[in-house]
Amino acid sequence: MTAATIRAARRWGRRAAATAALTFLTYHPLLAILALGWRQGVTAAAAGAAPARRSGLRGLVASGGALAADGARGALALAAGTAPFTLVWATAWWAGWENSFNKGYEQSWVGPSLGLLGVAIALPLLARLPFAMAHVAVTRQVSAAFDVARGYALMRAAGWRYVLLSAGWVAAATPLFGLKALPVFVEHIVPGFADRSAEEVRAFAEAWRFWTAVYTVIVMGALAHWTGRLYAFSAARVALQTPAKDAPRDWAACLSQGAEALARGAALAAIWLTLVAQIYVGQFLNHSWAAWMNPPLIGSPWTPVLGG
Amino acid sequence: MWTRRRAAQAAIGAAATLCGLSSAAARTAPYRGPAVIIVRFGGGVRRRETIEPATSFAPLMMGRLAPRGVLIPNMMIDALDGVDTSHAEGTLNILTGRYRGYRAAPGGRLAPRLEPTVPTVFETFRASFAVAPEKALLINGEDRPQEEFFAYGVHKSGGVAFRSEVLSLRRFKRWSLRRQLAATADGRSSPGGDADAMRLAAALAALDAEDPRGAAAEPNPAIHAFWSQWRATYGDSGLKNPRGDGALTELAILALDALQPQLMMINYQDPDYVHWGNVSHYTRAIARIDRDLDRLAAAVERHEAYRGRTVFVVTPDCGRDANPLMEVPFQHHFNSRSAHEIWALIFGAGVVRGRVLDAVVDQSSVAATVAALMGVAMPNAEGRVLSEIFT
Repeated sequence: MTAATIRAARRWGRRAAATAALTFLTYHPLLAILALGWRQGVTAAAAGAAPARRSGLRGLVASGGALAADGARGALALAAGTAPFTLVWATAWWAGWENSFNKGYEQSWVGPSLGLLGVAIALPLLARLPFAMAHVAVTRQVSAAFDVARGYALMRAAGWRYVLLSAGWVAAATPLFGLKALPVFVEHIVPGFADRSAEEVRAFAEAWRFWTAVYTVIVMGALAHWTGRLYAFSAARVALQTPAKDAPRDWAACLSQGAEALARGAALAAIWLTLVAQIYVGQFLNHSWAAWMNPPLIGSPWTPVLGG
Repeated sequence: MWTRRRAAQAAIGAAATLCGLSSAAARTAPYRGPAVIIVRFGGGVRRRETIEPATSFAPLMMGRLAPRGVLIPNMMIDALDGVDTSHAEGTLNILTGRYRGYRAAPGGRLAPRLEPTVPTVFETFRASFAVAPEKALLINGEDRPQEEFFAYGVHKSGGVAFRSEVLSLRRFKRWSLRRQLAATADGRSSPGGDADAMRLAAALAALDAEDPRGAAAEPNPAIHAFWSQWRATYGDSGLKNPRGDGALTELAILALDALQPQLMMINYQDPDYVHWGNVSHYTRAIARIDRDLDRLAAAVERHEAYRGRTVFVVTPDCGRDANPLMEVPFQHHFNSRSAHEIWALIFGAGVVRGRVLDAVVDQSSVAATVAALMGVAMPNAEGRVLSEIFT
């Protein structure tokens, strides 16, 4: 065995150990803040705003304080960025069921109307979320999440690459919605499931949770890296842009840019609308109040796909 | 006393009547059997929260009513292809005694409506005896318009001529709109003039359009009197009367006095408001049905026309999931085993007291057993008559 092979094996071993540690961190909503800190750190490192942390389990332990700080900032930014629509959704759902159960049909419009309002609020907030979180990671300031002008400037500079990144986030979230929805069909997927003992069911649920968490950690790391790289690319582009104050306005170019921006906006809306659809379908198949407040992958790494 | 022997004799007699004599002759016979009240403990409940003593939210049913009859804890909805564990389907299984004895009625593209393709026990009852439509009553919830279609089916030995009457807040609204429209036309009460009339007519047309078969338009003096009485108490607004399953109980108790039905089915449904919401809605709704069932049984005992000659058949339309992987494991649309697991409680005149029937019983047996109790035959029913529960 060559020295290079041994080094590669050690490197993969360290990564596997770190992934396992992060996996278990995602089991609990509070510990998951550390995993979120790791995600923010990966983004910052990929954006060139921070040195890459030491890889492996030792690296994770050594940077515990930084993970906690980054995680706390990330959690606050996430809450501020998503609560305006997640709270509305949860309230809308609550109102709908209360009306149905209490036969308040005269005000049955409240639930669906609030739900639609939540969607209207969600689309622009979700569309800027990847770069807003990257901005927080790079600046290490929660207030950066509210720097709307900077966020949109970076999105514009990234162009269609940002649309692709958004599609990547939503596509990567899809398996998590599948993992959340599939338990409702479990008796058809796993023959004899209804006959299993409580112990066997617990073991099955643990395996389901574990692999869900492993997927979350791996995909979250990859997406954080991609987001950080694109953030750096956009930041460089924005820095190179010089406002041409005295140059005559090229109306044709303006129109063309406007049309393209409009098309990108429509594409972003369509992409994030599929995430909203996934959230609603997932809730109809396997409801959980926590899932309203924490959209899987987009939100905290704590992903309770199973209840019970 | 309504004995097993008498039930068997009545069933054989009714079958012979139906086979050998003209149906018109059979329909001239007055009904002298027991009154039967079918209570659908819906929409969809599990055994765990209803009949299992340690976890039941129905203490009155289990403590007071079950000892008066036969509890069938292991009733099942058969797992056949095309059999759905849902409310309309389960209710039609109870009514017809046959799985898949229904089809989609016309005009229900967005909200599927099922109509029976084999005679229901109500149609069979009315086809066998000289009983008015209001003596065979269905009492339905206000938010299940599809259940208005259970009043009659399309089979040649049933149909609109043998329909049941339906009491529901939707029916009251139709009656009330017609009354207000007539009053407006007479100039008795028209503060809004033509605009009022047009608004009322549009609201009525929208309600009428829900049933393209139009059978409910036929006036029935007994039902007219019933709704007049209801209106005298609760007015026209629909906001003063009880809502939800509470309204069904009020309608049923008033009907015992005003209409004196011989066969009545009360389609409770509120436990269904749990699918993706609050578990407490489900358990509260079960407790509500439990109290209302106890009220109904007490009302029957107080009523001279029903005391000692009434049989209650209490059974859910379907079960619900018991998926340990879910936070709200109360769906019922995915054919899980638990959604097929139901139960029945039968108590009253001529029924064995204090027995638990330790056997797997099929849901399709309910209609056959009710028919046998009433002395009619249901040749289309797949289930067997549970003759062992009769005294």
